[in-house]
Amino acid sequence: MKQITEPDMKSSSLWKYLPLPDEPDRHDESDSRNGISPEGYRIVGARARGKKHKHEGTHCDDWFDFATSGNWTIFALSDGAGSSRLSRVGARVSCEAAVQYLAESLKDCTLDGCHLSDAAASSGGEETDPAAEERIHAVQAALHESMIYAHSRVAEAFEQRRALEEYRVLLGGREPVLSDFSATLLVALHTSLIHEGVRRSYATACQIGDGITAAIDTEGHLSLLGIPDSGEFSGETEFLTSEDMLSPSTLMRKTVSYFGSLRALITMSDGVADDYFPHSYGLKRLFGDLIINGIIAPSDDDRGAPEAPSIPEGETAPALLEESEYSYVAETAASHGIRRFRIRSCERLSELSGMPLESFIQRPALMQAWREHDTDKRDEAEMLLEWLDSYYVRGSFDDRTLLLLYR
Amino acid sequence: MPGEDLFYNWKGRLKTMDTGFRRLPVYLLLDCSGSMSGEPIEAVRQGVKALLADLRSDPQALETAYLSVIAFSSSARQISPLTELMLFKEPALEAQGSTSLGEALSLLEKCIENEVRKSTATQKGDWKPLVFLMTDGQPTDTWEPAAERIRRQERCNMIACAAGSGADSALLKKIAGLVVELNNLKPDTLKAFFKWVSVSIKSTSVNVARACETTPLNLPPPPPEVRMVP
Repeated sequence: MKQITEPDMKSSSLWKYLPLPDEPDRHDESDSRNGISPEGYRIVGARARGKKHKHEGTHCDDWFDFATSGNWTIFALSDGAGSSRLSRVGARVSCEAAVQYLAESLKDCTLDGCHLSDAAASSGGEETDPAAEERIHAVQAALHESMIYAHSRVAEAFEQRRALEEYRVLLGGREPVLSDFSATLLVALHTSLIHEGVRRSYATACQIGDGITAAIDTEGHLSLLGIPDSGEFSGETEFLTSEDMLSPSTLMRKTVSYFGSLRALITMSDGVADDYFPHSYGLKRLFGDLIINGIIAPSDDDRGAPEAPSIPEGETAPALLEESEYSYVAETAASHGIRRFRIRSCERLSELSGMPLESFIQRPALMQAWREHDTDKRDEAEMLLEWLDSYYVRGSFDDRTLLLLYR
Repeated sequence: MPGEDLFYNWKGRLKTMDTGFRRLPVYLLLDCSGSMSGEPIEAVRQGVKALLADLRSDPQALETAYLSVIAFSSSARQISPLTELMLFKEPALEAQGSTSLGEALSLLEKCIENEVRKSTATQKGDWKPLVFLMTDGQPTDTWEPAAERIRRQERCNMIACAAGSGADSALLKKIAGLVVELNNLKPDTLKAFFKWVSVSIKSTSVNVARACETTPLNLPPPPPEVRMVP
């Protein structure tokens, strides 16, 4: 069998790695962090400096932050505008501000005792319980306020730098302006409650700009928890610094909720979202790729899964396929030279085995991704960072950031 | 079929697949009228060759830029369909005949319509095409309607080059958002022009990550041989 390499692209060897520039507001080029949610679910976050930035010697413009507070998990993610010189500052300040605000507002907030129905959580759905409705509205109000607060903190960061000489020099002789700090902002919240004897998740998210938040349930169904801002032509988006994005009605319109048996909640910047397009199928594939590359560990349900169903004629049992058939070796320019990293593809596995992607999403055990991994000793955030830094998609050279909550 | 990309699938079999990635389409509209014959058209050939080599050494351009050549003289013809850089073959340019600029512009419209992918719910659209138009003289056909349509519909970012004293910058200003002038059609001058075209394409393939409709095209400053017309 032919060893799989990434699609033949002469550009691979042309990509350079240049270190971070000597500029004010130095950020690490990447970041990765693990956490545990109040329910005991795993939290994994990572951001990787894009190929483009490494090639040109510029900063990573993405940022993420997360926290747990009381019963809540709080995600914030931001993608700084490439053409804005200080957008990474806007990205960092807005994430830190949103998380800080929500950690404070939600620390004593609980949905325990609320009667939510499956249909209740979607925007405009009917709550069965007025008390629950009030609680949900309070949570969503806090969500919107956190984004308005984030905007004010970015404005402050701009004011602080306005008169400083080093910024004037950086910008070629002019003073900074607010739009130099342009960045998107995605905020997502998660909590759980016992509902009819079973633990169910409630999640709500709002975003300004592109990127997306999605929820995958225990049956492999996908819910999009965002309405990305993108115009008719490729590449248009909105930023937090545009004031008219922050009116209560706009924010409410862009808030989407979820209630159900959650398997995974994922928030990502456009650098990843655009590689898994169209989202209705693509994000399931993303979930599959996170599993097959060992970033998401199997759940107890997966482990106890019965044997795979009998393989129909014309299909191949995944266990019979060589890993090299559904993976490739990605080459990434790094500070010490070329780094090689094996990337597995659940879509290729699905293609080769003849089994549809949905089967794998519903029965992750079929992917047998973890046969080599000792799940107790992994640093999932590092694995996520390595994967983000390495996977290859033609034309994809933006920063890549992903936040993940899973059980 | 135009616009499809080929690569080897996982079992080594050639497979056509719409990769669905955003390309930067670049169209060169080149005047091949009689006045270009001899040294000028040879300099254009060399210019295109150098442009190709330059772009192929840039990893971002290599992944996203797609090139097409439309030659116009007594008629207009797309001698190179929109093709990725590694598969692009240098076109055979010959100079003779008149200057059917109108036909070239109408053909450009058709090519953009057929070749440039639009964003849909299931397809990633291409970036807004870059068009470089180079002419050394007055058009000999009716060009106003096509020019008016192209400007109004904003389907591309066009840079027009008035090459030499026979070209009309004021006329080109009615067609393109940006007009540059070359003093003559000498080899060194054309070389400088094509180098600037290459640098502009590379810079655009970088900036497209956040290309926005309302942001004007931010091209690098041209060399001394290439004068920007205000």
